[in-house]
Amino acid sequence: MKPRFRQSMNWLHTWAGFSFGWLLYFIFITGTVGYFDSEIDRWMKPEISVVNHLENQNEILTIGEQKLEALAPESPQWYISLPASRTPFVKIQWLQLANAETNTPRDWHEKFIDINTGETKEIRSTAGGETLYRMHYNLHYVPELMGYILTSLATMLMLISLVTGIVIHKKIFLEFFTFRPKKGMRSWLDIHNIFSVLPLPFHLMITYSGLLLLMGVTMSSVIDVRYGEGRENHRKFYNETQKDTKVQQFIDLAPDELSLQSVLNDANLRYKNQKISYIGLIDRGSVDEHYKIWFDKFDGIHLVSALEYRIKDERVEIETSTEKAGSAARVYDLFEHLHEGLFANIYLRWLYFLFGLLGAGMVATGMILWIKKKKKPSQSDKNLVMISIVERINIGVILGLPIAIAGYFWANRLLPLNIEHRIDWEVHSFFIALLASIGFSLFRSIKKIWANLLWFTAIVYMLLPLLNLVTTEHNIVSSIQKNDWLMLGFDLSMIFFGLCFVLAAIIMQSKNSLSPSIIKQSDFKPKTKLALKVD
Amino acid sequence: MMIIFFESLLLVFGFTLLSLSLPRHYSQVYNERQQLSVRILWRLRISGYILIIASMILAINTWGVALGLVYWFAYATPVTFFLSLVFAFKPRWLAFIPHLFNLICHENTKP
Repeated sequence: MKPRFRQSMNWLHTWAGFSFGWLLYFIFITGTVGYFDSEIDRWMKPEISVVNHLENQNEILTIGEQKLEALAPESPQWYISLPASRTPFVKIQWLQLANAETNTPRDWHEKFIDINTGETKEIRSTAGGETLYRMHYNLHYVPELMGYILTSLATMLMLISLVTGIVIHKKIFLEFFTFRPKKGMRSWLDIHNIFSVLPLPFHLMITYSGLLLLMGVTMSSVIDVRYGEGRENHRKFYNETQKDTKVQQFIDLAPDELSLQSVLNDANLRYKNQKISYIGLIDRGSVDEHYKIWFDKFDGIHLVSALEYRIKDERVEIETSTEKAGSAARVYDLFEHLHEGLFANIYLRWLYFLFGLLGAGMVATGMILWIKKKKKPSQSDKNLVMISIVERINIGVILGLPIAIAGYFWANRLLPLNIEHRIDWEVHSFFIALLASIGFSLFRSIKKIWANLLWFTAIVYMLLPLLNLVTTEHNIVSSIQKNDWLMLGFDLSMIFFGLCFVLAAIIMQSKNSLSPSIIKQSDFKPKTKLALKVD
Repeated sequence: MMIIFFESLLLVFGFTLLSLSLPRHYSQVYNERQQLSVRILWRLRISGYILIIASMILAINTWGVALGLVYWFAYATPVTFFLSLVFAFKPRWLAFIPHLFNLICHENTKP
């Protein structure tokens, strides 16, 4: 029984991984990049003026309030974001209600403020870091629901591959640290194992929590049964299950003194160790007008509670929400925060990023293994052609995604600022770059694709800081002078990634210059115990 | 910062000792022909586990249970990744670590 069990697990591992491999690779890469969405956003909006000195929150709030007063006197919701560690700038946001007379729809608006001049700044229209990060679950071009379902399906198969992978790995502890280079298939399998086993806690967490996050979509029939179908009923479900435990208390503040300023001062006094990053004035002008405050920091994995100020019985009441009321919601919350990693400081954020890349590497090496195993001289000619096409597309996808992301950044700087649908074209550039690299791999001589594409990727990344220098007022030197650490960090990271690709290209070329017969031998004759597929 | 450094150091030592308790890696680091005796194997293995558990306790003590475990896994992954690379290319670099803990000096002095 046992060998057959392992064989069927093997089969499941191979096909669960292979069938959605490219999509999983796409999800891993774009999701990983999403850990730096704010930083990317800052780079893609070079016009933002960064607050790089100790600022006076009250002054900033006054400026923001004046601007909101002038721009959105009618709006029911105002938000002002104060400079915080990952978002060192001032931004105002408001909700514009639908207006039948002027025919404007209900819409959110945002403006960045330069606190030196006190004026709003015109920012280029850009898809920004958020669109890039959202791609990993909405897949951009497909309808939203379709995107969610496809990514959930891919995630499910990923989870299956992980579990079956653990089952079929006979020496998970014995080969924990083992990588045997220059041994053909053996090395590929080793590297696949290293990419999967060492960050396994991360892989399991990210896959499982990814499934959980979309459970409202994938398991919607469960909600239908209890709460009924339709948006309204589902909202009821969310409101009921995601309820916070709240604590209310009255404070010594005269109701007529309640304002953005007094709320800021009071919250600062109450939470001396926390930095306020976001203030909202919600339901303006209605009975339920209230102020809301968010902090920059996380308390462990949980979001530091938000504070609400409102007038009740002619007194000012503050309300703190501590945690989710239900235990299921608390578990969901924990997984959501673990998945998003918003609590992570800069070191942990880079580690998250590294693990994401290892995950992408795991998928990529899995695909390469599949191809190498199929590519046997014993296959019929027709099959060999098919496998060769898959192999080419595979290389095109693996290197195409980094190229596509670079293309997205290039488009941000190069597309004319006043072009129509600029945001869309940035995203189109991403996919055009991806398709172009797949197209290139389809027609280039197979031995040269890796090296060619790696060199190309290295060049497009290395040139990004230069492009930044030419098209904007930002460059590495000026970023240091202005303490613009996000801009500097982005430029330096691009050079670093470029260097990594150079290294990879050099390794690839030296491997290609080996006598081809050696490679062939080791590639085509895997040891018997490695022949995972049972023919 | 100091904690992170200390934490990583514990993990490097712990995982090195643990990996040396595997015959394959032991002979990679030391003499090919030298057999890993059962006594040394268990010495390495137990001290490795002690260091790893110590690092976990340190992490939980510093950051609390939930965040501590997150940090512990987060640091353990690059450490083990780094070790697997060292084993693949420069295994002898690790030879000094067991000596720090005086774990295999007797056996090694024999010809």
